Amino acid sequence: MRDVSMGQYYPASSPVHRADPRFKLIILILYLVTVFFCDSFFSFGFMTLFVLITILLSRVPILKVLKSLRLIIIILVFTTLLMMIFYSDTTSAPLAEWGIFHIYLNGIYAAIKLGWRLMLLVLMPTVLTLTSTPTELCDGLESLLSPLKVLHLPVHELALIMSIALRLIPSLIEETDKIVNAQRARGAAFESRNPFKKIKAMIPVLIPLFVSSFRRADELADAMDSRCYRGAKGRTRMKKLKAKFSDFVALLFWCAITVCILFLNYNWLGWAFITALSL
Amino acid sequence: MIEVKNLSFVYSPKTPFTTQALFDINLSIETGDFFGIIGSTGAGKSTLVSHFNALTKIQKNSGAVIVDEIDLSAKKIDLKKLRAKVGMVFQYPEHQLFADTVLKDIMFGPKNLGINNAEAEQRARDAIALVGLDCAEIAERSPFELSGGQKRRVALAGVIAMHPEILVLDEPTAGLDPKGKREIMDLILRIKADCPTVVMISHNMDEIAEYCNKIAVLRRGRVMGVFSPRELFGSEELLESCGVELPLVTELAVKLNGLGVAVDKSVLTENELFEEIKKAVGVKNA
Amino acid sequence: MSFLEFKNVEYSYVGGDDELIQALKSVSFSIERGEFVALVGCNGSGKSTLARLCNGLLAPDGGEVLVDGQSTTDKRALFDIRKKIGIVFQNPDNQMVTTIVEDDVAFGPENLGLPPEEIRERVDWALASVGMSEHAKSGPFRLSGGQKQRVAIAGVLAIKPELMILDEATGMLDPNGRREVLEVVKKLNRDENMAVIMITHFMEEAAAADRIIVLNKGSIAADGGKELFNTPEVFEGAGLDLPLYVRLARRLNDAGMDVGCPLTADEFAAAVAKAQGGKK
Repeated sequence: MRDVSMGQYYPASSPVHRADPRFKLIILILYLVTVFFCDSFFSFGFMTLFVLITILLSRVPILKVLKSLRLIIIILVFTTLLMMIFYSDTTSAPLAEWGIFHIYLNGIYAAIKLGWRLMLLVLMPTVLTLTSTPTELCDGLESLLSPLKVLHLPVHELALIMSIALRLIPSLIEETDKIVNAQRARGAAFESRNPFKKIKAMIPVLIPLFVSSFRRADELADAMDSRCYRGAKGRTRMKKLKAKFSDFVALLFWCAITVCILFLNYNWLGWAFITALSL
Repeated sequence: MIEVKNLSFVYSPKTPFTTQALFDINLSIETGDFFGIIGSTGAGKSTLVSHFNALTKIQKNSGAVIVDEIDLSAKKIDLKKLRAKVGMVFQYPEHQLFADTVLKDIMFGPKNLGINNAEAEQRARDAIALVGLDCAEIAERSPFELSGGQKRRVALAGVIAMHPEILVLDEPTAGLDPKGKREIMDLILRIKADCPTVVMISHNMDEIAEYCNKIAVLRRGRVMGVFSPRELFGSEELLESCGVELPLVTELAVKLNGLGVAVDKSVLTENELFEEIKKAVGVKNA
Repeated sequence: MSFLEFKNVEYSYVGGDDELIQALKSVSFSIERGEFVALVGCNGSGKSTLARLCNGLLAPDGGEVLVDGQSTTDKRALFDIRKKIGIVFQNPDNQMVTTIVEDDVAFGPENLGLPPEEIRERVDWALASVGMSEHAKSGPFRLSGGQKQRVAIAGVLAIKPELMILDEATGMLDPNGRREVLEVVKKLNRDENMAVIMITHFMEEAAAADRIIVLNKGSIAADGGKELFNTPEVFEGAGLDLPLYVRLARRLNDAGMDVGCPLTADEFAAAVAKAQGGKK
C-alpha cells in the first residue's frame, strides 16, 4: 500500500482549516509568486518562518507536511547537485575543481537557494491540500473561476472532474500495485533494463488497468446518476463558502509579505517597473 | 513444502507511519496439504502469502521463508524457478486478463518461464480443458467477452499452465454465486491431483471447514494457531478466542445443542450434520 | 396503483461476438411501499439489469416501468423517479464521489437543490441511521468494506427515497461487513418504513426478506413469501441453493422425521428439538 501524501486531507480544527478555500487559493498563488521573487537568504528565511507559522497554526503534524518532500527528494538532490557543479563564476576563484567541474562559493549559495525554493514551492500546496477537503478546493476553484462562465466555459464540470480525479488516484495506484503483482507472479519481468522490453512488459499491466478504469468510470457514472446528479443545474451546497473577516485579514497580511519581499529584492524603481508590467 | 520461520513484516519502515503487518510467524505447510488461512480483513493474510513467491521481499533480520529448499531470505533468488513452483491466484484474478485471445493470455505465464511456443500452447490447451471450458469454442475468443465465471476460469488456467507444485489462492470464490462457488471448489480439487499442495485464504468458513485439512488462524498479524478443522470448529472457546466466524453447520449444531439435541459440534459438512441429527433423534427413540 | 410496476419489460443488449443477448424477457411484477423484497438469481440471470431499469439508468426495449405512475422512458420524469428510488451498488469503492464521508453523503441532497441547513440535517441523520456519525470527517481509505458500504447507503438515504435497491451490495464484503449491512437495511425497512429490494445470491440473506422473487435467465421463476422454500425446485432450477436449514429440514422430513418447513435457523432447531421430544 503506497501512501499518497498530496491530496490527503488531514482532519483537524484550526484557523487554517476553517479559512475560506477561495482565500486560501488566492493566498497560495500570491505565495508562489512571492517565492519566485525571493532572492536573498534573508527573504527565504522570512518565507520559511511564515510557512512554519502556518503549519503550526494548522495543527497538522509537521512530519506529515514534510513527508510531501519525499516525492521530490530525487529532483531536489539532482538539481541542486547540478546547479552546484555547473555553476560558473568568472569573478571569483573556484573552491575546488575536478576536470570540467568547478565549485564556487556562489555556486553553493545558488544551489542552496534553488533547493530551498523547491521545498517552499512544494510545502505550501501540501498544507493547502492537508487543510482543505477536495470538495472545498473544488468549490473554491469553481467560485473563483465562475466569471469564466460568461465565456461558456464548463466551470462546474471542470471542478467536478478535478474532485473525482483526486478521489480516484489513490484507488488507481492501489489497483496498479495489484495488477503488477499478479503479472509478476505469472513470471512477468519488469526489471529489464532494455527500454523496449520494459514498455512491452507494461502491456499486461496497462490493458487491465484501462479496462478497470473504464469499469470504474461506468459504475461511478451510474452511482452519480442514481443520486440525482444532473450537472450544475439546480445544485446547492451543504457547505456554502462564506468569506469571514479573518480571511480578509489573512489576505492583507500575505499581500504585505509579498510587498516586503519585493521591497527587499528590488529598489523602488524596479518595483514600479514590476507594477507597470503587471498592469 | 513451505517453511515459515519467525517471519515479521513492517510497512513503511523507518517512517512515522510504520505499521507492523506480521509478527514472528511460524508455519509449516507440507506437500499434500490443503492449507487454509483465515482471519478478518487486515489480519495480514495477503501479506503473508505474498512472501511465498517473493512478491514481497523478506526484510532484514525478519525471519525466513523456505520453499522446497529455496531460501527466500537469500540475496539472490532464482525467481523463474520459484514462480514456476509457486502459482499465485489473487482475489478477482479475472482483473489481470489482458491478451486479445484466451489462448495467448494463458500462454503468457508459461512463455515467461522460457517455455517454447509449441509447448506453451499445448499447456494452455490442457489448462483450458482442465478448468472445464471448451477449447475449440473459447481459445480464439477475447477474454473480455466472456462471462464472469468463465473469466475467472481462464485466469486460473493462466496459472495452472505454469504447472505449479504449490498453488496459493486468495479468496478464489469471492463474488461468485453458490453454483459458481461450488464449481470453482470442485475445480481446485481437480487441480490438486497434479499440484499436490494448495494454500487457500478464505472468508467463507463453510468452504474452509469442508476442504482444508489444516487451518492457520491469523489475528492482527499473529498466528493464533494451526488446527485441524475438527479441532477448530468443534471448540467454541477456540473459535471465540481466535475471533473466527462459525460455519453455518457449526452454528446450527450449536443451536441444536442449546435446545437439548445432542449433536456433535465438530461436524464439518451438511451430510455429517444430517447423520448426527438422525442419530441424536433416532438413538433417543430406540 | 403500485409504487413500482414492471409491465412485460423486455431488455436486450449486444454482447461480445455482436450477438444480441436477451437479459430480461417479459418481466412483470409490482412493489408496494414499505415492502422488503429479496431478488435472487445466479450470475447472468438479469438481476443487475433489472435494478438499472427501476430508476431509468436503462430504458426498457419493450413494455413499461412505472414509478408512482410515471414511466422511466419519460426523460422529464427521471429526476423525480431517482428521488424516489435509490440504488446501492456492489463495489463500495466506485460509488464515492469525493474523499470525505460527509461531503459524499451530501452529494445527493445537493443535487436536489435543498438549502444548506436541510442538507446538513439530512447528512447527519443519514450517517446516524447507518451508525457512521463518528466517521463523518474521515476518508474512505481508513474504512472497512462494510463501513464504506454503509456510507454508500447513507448517501442514498440522504435523498430520502421511498425504495432502496441494494444491487449485490454485500457481494464483495467479508461476513462481518455483510452482517453490518444487513442489520442496517433491516432497521431502515422497519423504522423508516422504506421499501427495500435486496438483490443477492446469499440465500441466508434472502431469508431475511418478507417476499422473494426468483429470477432465472431473464424471467421471473417464482414470486412469493418464505413458503417458496417449500418448493425447492424453483431455486434449484435457477441455479441457487436453499438456506442450509431448509435443505436439512427437507432431508430430515424425507428420512421420516417431522420438522415441517422452518423459515429461520432458530425455528429449525426448535422443530428438531420438538421432534426429538415427541419421539421420546
